[in-house]
Amino acid sequence: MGEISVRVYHDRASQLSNAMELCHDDMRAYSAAVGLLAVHSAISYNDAVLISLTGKKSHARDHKQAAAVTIKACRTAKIQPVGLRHLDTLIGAKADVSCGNERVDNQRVEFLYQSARRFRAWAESILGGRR
Amino acid sequence: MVTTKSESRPLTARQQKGRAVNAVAEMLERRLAVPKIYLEPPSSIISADVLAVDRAGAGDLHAVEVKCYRQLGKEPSSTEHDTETALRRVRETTRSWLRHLIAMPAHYKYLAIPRLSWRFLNTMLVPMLLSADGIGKIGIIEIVERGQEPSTAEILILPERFRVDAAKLTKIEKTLINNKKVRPDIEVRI
Repeated sequence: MGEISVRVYHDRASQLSNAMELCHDDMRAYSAAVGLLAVHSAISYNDAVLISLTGKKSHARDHKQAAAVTIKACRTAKIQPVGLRHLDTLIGAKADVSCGNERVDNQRVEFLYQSARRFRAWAESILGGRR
Repeated sequence: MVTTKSESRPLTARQQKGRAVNAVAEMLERRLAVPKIYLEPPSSIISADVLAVDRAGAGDLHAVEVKCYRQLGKEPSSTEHDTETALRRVRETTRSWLRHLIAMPAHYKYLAIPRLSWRFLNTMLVPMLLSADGIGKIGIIEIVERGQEPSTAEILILPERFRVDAAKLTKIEKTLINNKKVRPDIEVRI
């Protein structure tokens, strides 16, 4: 699995994140898309980091569990899991932004956008040297 | 409309360059993935005006030399100033900048210049951008000054990736990118 999968997940995460940036340029028109892309880019980045550290993808259905597996993998690899607190925030908002019955306000979307960027910075600092 | 004293005063060369540096940094921030950007990093490490390290400091190095009209000598506009002599002088000046860039340890290199005539770009500048071995091509960024509005930077010619000497890259990583005492001017804080 190893190398190819990291690339697949890394590219996917990167594309979702770039799409988030594009949508963020016009928040009034695409705020719901920004929220959704923030969460899903982070989930993909988490998969990529986990595969790069362990060679395996988490099969946990619950994304919180996948994050816990990544924390464990970081500890084994002696990497500070500082960015994972942002993933926690994003996963916590997943239900609201992807299938909630109410509109998520722009202030919250902006917060999720910033969290996604910070999580990306953390993930890229790990993935960059491992691609 | 109220015109303040500072508005009516022409920009100094330093201010003009500073605005161009800012415009380039902003453009790179948008084009790259969460880059770490250093404005005018120590020349003992790398003598670029802007250094952007892609992917939160783990990716490729993008180095930019920023030049203003005053550094070009006479402004080679697309009209009557576009004489052969002026163009030749500008070509010699840019040739020396390109030589400097070619020697710079970075994966992507750019020359940021003010708006020049297409004739100059196509006939004189473009043939000088490619490296001798064909691996790597210097990109061209155009700086547009807009008076009181912020200057803008736009890529006119896309760069191609250079090879970088591993020892030189390690030195930059050690002394700048991975040096906790040196913080980038622009970064996404984790």
